[in-house]
Amino acid sequence: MLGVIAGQVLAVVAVMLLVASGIIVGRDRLARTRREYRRRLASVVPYLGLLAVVLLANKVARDVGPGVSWLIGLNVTPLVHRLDGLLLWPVYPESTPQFVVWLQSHGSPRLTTYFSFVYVFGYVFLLTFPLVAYVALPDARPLRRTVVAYAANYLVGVGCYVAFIAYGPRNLIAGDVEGLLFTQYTQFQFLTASINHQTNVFPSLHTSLSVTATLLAWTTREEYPLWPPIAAVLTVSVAVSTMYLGIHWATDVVFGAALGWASLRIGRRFEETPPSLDAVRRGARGALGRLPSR
Amino acid sequence: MSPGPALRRRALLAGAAGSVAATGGCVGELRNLAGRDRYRQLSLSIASVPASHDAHAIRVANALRENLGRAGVDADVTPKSPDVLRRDVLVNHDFDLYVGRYPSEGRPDELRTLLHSTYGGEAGWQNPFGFSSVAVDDLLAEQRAVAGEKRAAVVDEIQRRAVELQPFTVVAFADRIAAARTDRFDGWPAGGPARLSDYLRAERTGDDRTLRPTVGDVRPTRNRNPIAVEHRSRSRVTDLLYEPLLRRPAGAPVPWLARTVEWETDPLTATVTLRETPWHDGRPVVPSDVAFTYAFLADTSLGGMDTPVPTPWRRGAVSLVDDAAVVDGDVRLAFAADHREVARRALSVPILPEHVWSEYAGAADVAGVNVAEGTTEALVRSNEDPVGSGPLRFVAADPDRSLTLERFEPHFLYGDDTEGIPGPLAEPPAFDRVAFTVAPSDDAAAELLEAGEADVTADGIGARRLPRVSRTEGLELLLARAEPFYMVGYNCRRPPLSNERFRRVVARLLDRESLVSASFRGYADAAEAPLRPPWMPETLAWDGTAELPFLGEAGALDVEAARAAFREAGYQYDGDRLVARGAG
Repeated sequence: MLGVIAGQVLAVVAVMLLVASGIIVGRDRLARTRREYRRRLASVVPYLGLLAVVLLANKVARDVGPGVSWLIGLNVTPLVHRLDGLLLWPVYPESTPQFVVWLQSHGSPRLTTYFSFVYVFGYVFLLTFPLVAYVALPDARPLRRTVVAYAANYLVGVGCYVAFIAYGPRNLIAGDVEGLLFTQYTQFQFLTASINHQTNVFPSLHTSLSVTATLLAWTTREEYPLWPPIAAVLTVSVAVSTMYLGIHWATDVVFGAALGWASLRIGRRFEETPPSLDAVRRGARGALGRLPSR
Repeated sequence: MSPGPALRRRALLAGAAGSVAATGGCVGELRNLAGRDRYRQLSLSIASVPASHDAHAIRVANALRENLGRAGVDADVTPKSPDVLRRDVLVNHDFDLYVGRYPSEGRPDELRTLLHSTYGGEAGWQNPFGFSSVAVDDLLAEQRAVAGEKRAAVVDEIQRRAVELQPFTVVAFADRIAAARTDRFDGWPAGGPARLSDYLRAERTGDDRTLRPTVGDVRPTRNRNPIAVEHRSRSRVTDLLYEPLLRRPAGAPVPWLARTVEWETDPLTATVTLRETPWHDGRPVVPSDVAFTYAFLADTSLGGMDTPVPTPWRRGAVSLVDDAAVVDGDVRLAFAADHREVARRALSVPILPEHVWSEYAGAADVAGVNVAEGTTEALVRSNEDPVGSGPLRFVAADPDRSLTLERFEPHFLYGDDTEGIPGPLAEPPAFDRVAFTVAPSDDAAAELLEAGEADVTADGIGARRLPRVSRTEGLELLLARAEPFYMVGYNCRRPPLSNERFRRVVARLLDRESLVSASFRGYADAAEAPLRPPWMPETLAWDGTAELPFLGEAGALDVEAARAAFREAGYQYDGDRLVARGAG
């Protein structure tokens, strides 16, 4: 089951990447990239090494993480549930509905199909297209910035997953919220279950990585003017889909967006020189130095 | 020159001292006042499992949270993974309220395990609520000493007391619902497979010799310790690996690992002759393994610790055995009960190999450091490569994904030593392998069945997925009433839950009728008593209204009535919040 679904996702995303590369990147850039891709990849090698290390660490942390998390983590599910319950208070001060419940009450079968598609395929496309598009640029900085920003998302995200235990709305307010993706398109659950654990919903990495991708698109708007609007629409759709499908709380999405923004800042900071232990140490010392002394 | 800061401070102190002296009486009063705890809103936490594990439990928990909130209590629901929840509730006793399913087998003696006050300090299903009542203790002892109608009367009385004192609130008996496809295997019992006998009765209808059940519970893929209470839920997988002396496939006892059991009265003893069958590592199952098992489960430290460390799982059954000894190549069991019908429960305990488990009687430690006092290694080891004696042997497991068992042909079922075992059960299984696949949800289980990648759901599916299964061609629904019940458990060690008046009002916040129709989709029997008929007292038989009736109508809480009930129980309100001193 898992293999079939993974193959399906890869195939669909590959088609999306091909089409988007043709339209957004353009034939000239692609032709030049074919001649220069060795040199371009060479200029980002330390960064790709970083991404590989982070992804590996991420995999280990997600396997071991839940066990560690139950030992030392804080179960913030009731707190997130409460925060979410306050969101619509300005609109419905009398009896405030849960945000996700309110969102699902506006649902329709078509929206469910759209958001399920976006959650699985749109999201993977949104993350992978910048890698393709930025390899096709002679300037190495956008690619470096992307790799560092993605790595930052994963590192902070996994740290939060270990520190906080949070179940999504479909697992807590089961009577009011339906896990629509998994009841309507059950097959995807085999994929998501193998990627992530259900206690890892705070913050939403779907949202944070999408926000990062859109902010990255803005930094390259001169090279790829078509990409920022597409990325923005996809990002909003992904963020809404995580809640519409009952997977994330609105609180997770808000914190995810903040993480996405912070990750881009980190990416820009390290686009000239790769992050090293030395740089981290200097940074930490600098931060300590800024603390008010007695 | 102005005075330095030190001087100024000293002057200030002198002034302050003077004024304190002058107002000494007032301070005394202030201290009396400030030393008192302030009234704060009472807050309670309801622990349960996430919907993906048990959609019924979390919905009962949510309904209770909402009604507690309306009544002025600040309540929240904390979902926890099933093993963590069990550890918090059963081992560490760290909870306020708990909603879950009690894995009952419908035997009255289980109530003794759940409620006897001497078990209040132990870890496991033995009195996790910390409930204590001398009167109930006496009744619990008495039901072991009598039989027949007398026992029924005592069991009635115990249940009436349990309803009156509410150490836990019974909500409903949920139906067991399973789904199966019949193109490869057939012959499943109503409710789906649960015990070894259900697997043995399955018939092959196709050519495939691998049975593929789905499981929702991932715990057996990580832990196969038959006495680790956090990981056992009606011991589904370990029941296939480890064997008791007697099995009860249809209620009537069938001699299993025991070839014969001979009973003698005054005092009650049983002489057990074993069948000839080996452990999965090839060594024979010998009488001393049985004697060892009962001694070991009563004290897993085997006398090595100051206080005995009993098993947290099947503690009640083990407590029925006073002594187990090997006499002339047989096992002689002496019982703490006078009647066979009570004592037989002791023979359903899984027998463990002495040569494996005797090594784990030492204190559990992490890298040589003893972190939990009074815990033996036997209780916490994950037993990854289980050595049992069942007709199926463990092959491999992929954590959170799958688990595989295969035929163990030296087992007595494959030979002719099957005296006393009725027809279909005396045959070897109809399959060579059992490959369990973990389905991350009920929908995923249905998906695997529809795709032909699974044959049957081994631990049931929720009532909400019933329409999906019944609409799918080639899938069969297996429905049965069952003994396990959903309950709200109270930690009677903590105020205000230590107060039975408070618990009685909480019980009245639950509308069983609307919970059964909304949360269980009607596939449950609302109930107030913990045992099904024939053990359920007639006065507690469900007639639409509970003995402690819901404070409202048709699912809607009468908020004023709820508050009045809490006030009557001695609690106070500040505005619309229920307040207590130093609360939660």
